[in-house]
Amino acid sequence: MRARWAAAAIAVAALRAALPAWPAAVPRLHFTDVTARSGVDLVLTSGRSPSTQILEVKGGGLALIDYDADGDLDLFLPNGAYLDAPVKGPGARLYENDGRMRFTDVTAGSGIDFQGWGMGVAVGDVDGDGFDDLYVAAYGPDALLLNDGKKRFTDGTARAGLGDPRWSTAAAFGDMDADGDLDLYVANYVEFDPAHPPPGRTFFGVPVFGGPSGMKGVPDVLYENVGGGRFRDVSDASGIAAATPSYGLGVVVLDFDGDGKQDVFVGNDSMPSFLWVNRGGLRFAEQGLVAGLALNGDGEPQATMGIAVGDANGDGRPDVFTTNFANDTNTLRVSVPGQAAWEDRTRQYNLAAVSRPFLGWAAMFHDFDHDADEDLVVFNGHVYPAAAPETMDSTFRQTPLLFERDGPRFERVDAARAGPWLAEAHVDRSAAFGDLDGDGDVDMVVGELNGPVRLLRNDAAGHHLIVELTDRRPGVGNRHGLGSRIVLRQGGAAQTRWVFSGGSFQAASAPYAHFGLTTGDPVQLEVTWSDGVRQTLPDVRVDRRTVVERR
Amino acid sequence: MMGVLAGLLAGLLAAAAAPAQSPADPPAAAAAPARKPPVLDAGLTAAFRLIRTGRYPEARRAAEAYLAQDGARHPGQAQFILGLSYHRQRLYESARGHFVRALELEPDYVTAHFFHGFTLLNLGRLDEARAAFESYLARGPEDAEAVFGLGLVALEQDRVDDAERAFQRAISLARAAGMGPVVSPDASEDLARYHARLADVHLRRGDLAKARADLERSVELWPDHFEPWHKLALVLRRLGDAAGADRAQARSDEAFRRRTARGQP
Repeated sequence: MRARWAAAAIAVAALRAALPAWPAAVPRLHFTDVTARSGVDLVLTSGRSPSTQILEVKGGGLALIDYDADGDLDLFLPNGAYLDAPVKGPGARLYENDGRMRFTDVTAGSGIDFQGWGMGVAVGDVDGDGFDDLYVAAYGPDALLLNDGKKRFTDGTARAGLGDPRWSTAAAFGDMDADGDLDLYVANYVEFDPAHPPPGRTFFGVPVFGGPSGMKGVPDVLYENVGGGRFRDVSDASGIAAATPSYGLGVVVLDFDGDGKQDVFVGNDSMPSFLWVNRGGLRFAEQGLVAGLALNGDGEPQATMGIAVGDANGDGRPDVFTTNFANDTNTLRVSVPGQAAWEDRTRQYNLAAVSRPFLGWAAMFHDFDHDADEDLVVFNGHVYPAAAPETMDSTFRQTPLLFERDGPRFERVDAARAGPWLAEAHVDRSAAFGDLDGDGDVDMVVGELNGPVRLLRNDAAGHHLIVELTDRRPGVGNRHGLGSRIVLRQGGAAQTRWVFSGGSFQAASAPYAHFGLTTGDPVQLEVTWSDGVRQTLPDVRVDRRTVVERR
Repeated sequence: MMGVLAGLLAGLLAAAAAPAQSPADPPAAAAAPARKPPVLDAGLTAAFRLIRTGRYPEARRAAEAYLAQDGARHPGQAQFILGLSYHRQRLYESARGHFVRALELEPDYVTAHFFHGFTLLNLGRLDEARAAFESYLARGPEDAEAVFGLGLVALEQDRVDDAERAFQRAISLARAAGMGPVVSPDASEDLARYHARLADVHLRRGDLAKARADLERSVELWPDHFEPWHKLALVLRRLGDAAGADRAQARSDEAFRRRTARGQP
């Protein structure tokens, strides 16, 4: 196993050495839809269209995974299924990237045979063999797909002690007991039987399908990795099971309170969200309300579909942006100085009123234009096909929202500047983020409900740095350093990023940190690994991807 | 907006219920646009009453029937009624178009500016909302709720000093209008909302003591409102009063449950 990992690592290192140092140019916030020439031709399945039940409107995850360890990000799509055959859908797909954002469908021969109703995906090396594996949260049994490093996956669900048959929506890996391997948090949604759906209700006086209000929530699950790719359900012992079963839709594993232990933020639909604060020894305390992350600033639970984590207030601590239902606003909670607490500052950052007509899903902070601050993108689309301005003050198909950070506020960018993709209305759900063409900026993959997967190429220029963490210590499965914090210093300025699992919506993004920079001068990096250990690199060249290996 | 909105609507209704003007009379709003209350054409009274009872589609049909008449004297008011019916349903995009047409036809029908402002605010069209509130205030009496609307716009735009001035002015106006110290329940709720938003200004500046004072005034005025209780809990927790914060949050939770049980959005 170690030999295999070492061989792959050498191959990757060789490839990286060959990567060019990109030329600097003027920052530009612009994306181009390159789906047609990307080779990705999948139309996602999520029941019928138009949707008639709640199950049909929640899905559509996707994941970026370097499954062949060749240094670029490949694409995995779990896909959905049908109400009358929820475990017999068209099946998941795997696309291999040639490194230039051109993909080949390699599902056949990959060993991937997942035909369930896939929702969220988490990526991590659960068995410590040096190759990233896939966990698929699903309506029906979840699946663990183990990567053997030879471009083949095997279903390791049963052997790993996983396979929860309930409706799981999202999952994230993290080393929550600081033993070097990846534990797993799975967010669960509601008890639902397509044959006996909840009674319909009305929204704005319009008849719509029922749920989630009134439905029975399903408790989340925390799994401890006990080694060798096997897991143990520790929900009871950890305290997770003590929470009111809620409608979980999203999860992020990260050290939110800065105490060196990995916490868990869970976005719950129409119920207070959770902040599971890690007390050590795999014991957690729910502190969402106390910390200011459970409700919006007005004291209301929100729909909380997507989760983005960034450093909006520049204090080096994670801030949390969540997307919500139409006729409500998205919410940005920024850290309170000196306290393990956050407060709703959505209006201050100009993200409130603009979002009211939109029903938001995937979202993420990234410095898309390389001007040394984090921008924000939100993908939208209603759940009710009847949504229209005259019926629900919203629309079924909706455009994305792109915000450029402009001083203290975020300013909405229009399609005239950022490209026609931003004016096109879709019923989007998930999105994953990473440098798909090797040019050093952050590209996007978007999944639409019962629609085609789209690839959006970032056309940014300017200075940048991608920081990839590697932990090759024996027995360590968290080889990407998921849950780590990276501070970059250049001149007198500092930027903070986190490498984490989860977030966006039902997506797994690139397991590295990306920085935009205002100059090409060398930078200093300070890495705080997920277990709190710090490592400083004083003189790092930019305009490249750099690998920081744990010492 | 409950108290002031109720007052505005009641005023409209009172005007509508007043003896119908003879066709020869000039519309009051047109004759004296600056300081007289808006007068609704008698032909739209039925539509307005339907809005008050929540029968919005019927109200729209009545307004459209009025518009279809030959020689309808106040097509702008009919457009206003159409817009108001959508506004009350929180269908702001639909409301906006009718308010725009209403104001094109009868720019001095001041009430349309007021509702247009809140419609635009709900649509996130902040500069336009500000202009609408300013138009309303330029044409009519200095109304607490319109000034409050300007404060909300300022808060969204992070013009903190402007927001503070607006909320303080709204509080003064509301008190001067007879809302305090002994006030009717609706008026009390309006005043409570103004204090809660003034607390937002203090929170934006990090002034916890002032925020606490305004939130305590807010919950005193409207004990059944979950929002200021929740904010008071956050403030008390940041001030180190965990027990007080827990009590305030419990009040917020209780108020929120009651609201949900009543089926309010």
